[in-house]
Amino acid sequence: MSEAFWRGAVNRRAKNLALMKPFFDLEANKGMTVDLGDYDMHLLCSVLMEAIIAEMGGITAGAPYSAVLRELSKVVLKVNPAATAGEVDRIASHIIDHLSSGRGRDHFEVSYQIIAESGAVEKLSHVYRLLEQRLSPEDELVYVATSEAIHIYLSGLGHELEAEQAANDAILDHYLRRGKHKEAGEAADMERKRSVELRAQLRGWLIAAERSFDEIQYAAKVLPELAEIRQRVEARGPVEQRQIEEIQSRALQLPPGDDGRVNLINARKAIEDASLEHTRLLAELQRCSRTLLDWQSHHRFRRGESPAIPDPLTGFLQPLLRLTHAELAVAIPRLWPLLVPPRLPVLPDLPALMDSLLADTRDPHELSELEPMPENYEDIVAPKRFSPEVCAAADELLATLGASFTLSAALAATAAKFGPASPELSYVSVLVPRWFELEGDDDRIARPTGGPISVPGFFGDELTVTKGTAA
Amino acid sequence: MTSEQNGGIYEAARLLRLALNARETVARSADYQQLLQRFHTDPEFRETTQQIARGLDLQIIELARDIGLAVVNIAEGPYAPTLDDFRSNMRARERIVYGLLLAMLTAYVYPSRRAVGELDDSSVVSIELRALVEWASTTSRQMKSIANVEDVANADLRAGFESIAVLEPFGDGQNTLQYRLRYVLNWLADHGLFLRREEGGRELWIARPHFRVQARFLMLSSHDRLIEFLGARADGTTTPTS
Repeated sequence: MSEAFWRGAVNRRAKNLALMKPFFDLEANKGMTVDLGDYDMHLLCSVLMEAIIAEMGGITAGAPYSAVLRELSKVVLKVNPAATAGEVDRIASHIIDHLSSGRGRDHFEVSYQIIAESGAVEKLSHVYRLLEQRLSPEDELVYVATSEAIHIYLSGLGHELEAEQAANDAILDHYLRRGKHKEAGEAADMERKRSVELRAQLRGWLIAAERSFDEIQYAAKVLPELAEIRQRVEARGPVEQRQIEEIQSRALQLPPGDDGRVNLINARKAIEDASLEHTRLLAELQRCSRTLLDWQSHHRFRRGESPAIPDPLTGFLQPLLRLTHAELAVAIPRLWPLLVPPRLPVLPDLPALMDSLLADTRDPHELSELEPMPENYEDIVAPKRFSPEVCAAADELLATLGASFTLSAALAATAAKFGPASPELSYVSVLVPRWFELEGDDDRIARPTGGPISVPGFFGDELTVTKGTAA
Repeated sequence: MTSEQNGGIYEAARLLRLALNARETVARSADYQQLLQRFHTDPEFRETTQQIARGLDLQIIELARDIGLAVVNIAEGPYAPTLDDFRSNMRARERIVYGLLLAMLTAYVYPSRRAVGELDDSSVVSIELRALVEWASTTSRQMKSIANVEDVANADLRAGFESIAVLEPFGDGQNTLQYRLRYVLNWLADHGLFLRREEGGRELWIARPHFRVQARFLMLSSHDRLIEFLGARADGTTTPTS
């Protein structure tokens, strides 16, 4: 074994061992917060990872909590048949909290040593996550395993994906030839997981490239790597097709209901899923390639972590909390617009306002998720603004004004008959302008005639009302 | 102006309109996906969109490709919210408490530079209200204990952490951290920055990637202003005015 090969292998494995620390921590500290003494956390983590990676190949591209719970409960109940649903939930939540680094608020950071080319031992550190939370297209929370987590879970010591895939193909062929159908099914399922891993690896690689695009050489390094992955994925097609045909022909030789036949059908399903995963991977590759090409051609580099960002706790929150009320009274209104998103102002809508004023009651406001503020909320019945008697009296008066009249004339006539503070006058003041916005069932039209209203106490443009619909 | 240019302006404005709504995502809208693709591949279209945004005193921030764009306010633009948008009948002291709670929430959700800096990360953070309340109470009380402050008659001279520390974490009524932080979270959910979900009987509040943009923007922009305030205090000069 060459020195360089040996060094590469031990360095890679040392890092992989260090990356497993969160799993070991979970087992070592299992009695500290939640009593998990009866359970082997390595096994539960393994079940959880299995469930999540399997769901990552599905339509939501991640595992909903219910799927994690379902898979974990199978094992928890075997260890403790009396375990309640609440206990399973507590265990699942505890593992997820830990492996997702406080549900996304933090990262894991491990230090490890490597042997450098010079032969000296150097200390390095690696920041990473194992589980992440994402939103599905339907805005539901799903869990995904990072490329590091998949790598660790699928026995990442000395990991080399392409070689493992080739080995897996050989194992599958071997089991099929020997008639070991159950084992063949398991090998096929491993194929599917490798496909998920490859996609996660590509995604992680793209994110890494996005963050340091200005440091990587697109033509020299990125392009060949993309081409290599593409070639590898395309080569899977014929292999998977051959495996499916092989499984199919062997399954047909077995009688219906035979265990071996069921295993082979499951194996075929797993290979088909893997094939689907590869199709998705090709699409991602295409997108990734196009994206990088765009960046390259436009010389546009994404901003990474800005050193200008203050530490959220010591550089932002604590200084803010130390300000006095007098200072905060000035600071808060200046900072406020920065924290909340732009709001779309509501444009004035006169016809809607008129409709609202003429409506008997307000529509209940159901869109807001905000709870009513008890201090502002008074359970009172709003008085009806205009009674049917008021409306009828005003309508009767307007009918006496003839086929054409001005808004001022209508207001003056109403004030003279019912008084300047009468509800009839208020009703006419909002009813007449409503005809300005012609609606299908209106039998009157109001048009501006120029100049203001000439009745004291009212402001706005003069309108002339005519009977009949618009020409 | 050619009809092609007109079409570009129309589509750029449409993209901006979609980006202004934090609830819209590329995953759910084919229209958004198409416009975003053009934004990333057509430099002229990209420039047009950014110019329209600048004209409206807005700034476009790119999120992960599967999420879309986010928009933040520049200076005192027409879309900048005012304090009156949030419980308009509040007294001045109440505004301060709610403003500080909002700042505490951002620091709790993104407690490190790394967490607040990952704009292109499509992963989300979820929190539980109980843990947030406990953290806010402990943080403010620790600050009060370290500062060893004496009671002062003039409320204007009290520090911000005292207003938070004096609130009971849990209990009935409005005068608790739990009530007020829930109100803030509900308000942010109404603006599309948070989602509330149930998981195994627990209530989870999920911060959308758009909230990270606002938090980052707040922290970056407030830094200089905080230094200005603390500098004025150290010099013994009057508090900067707006």
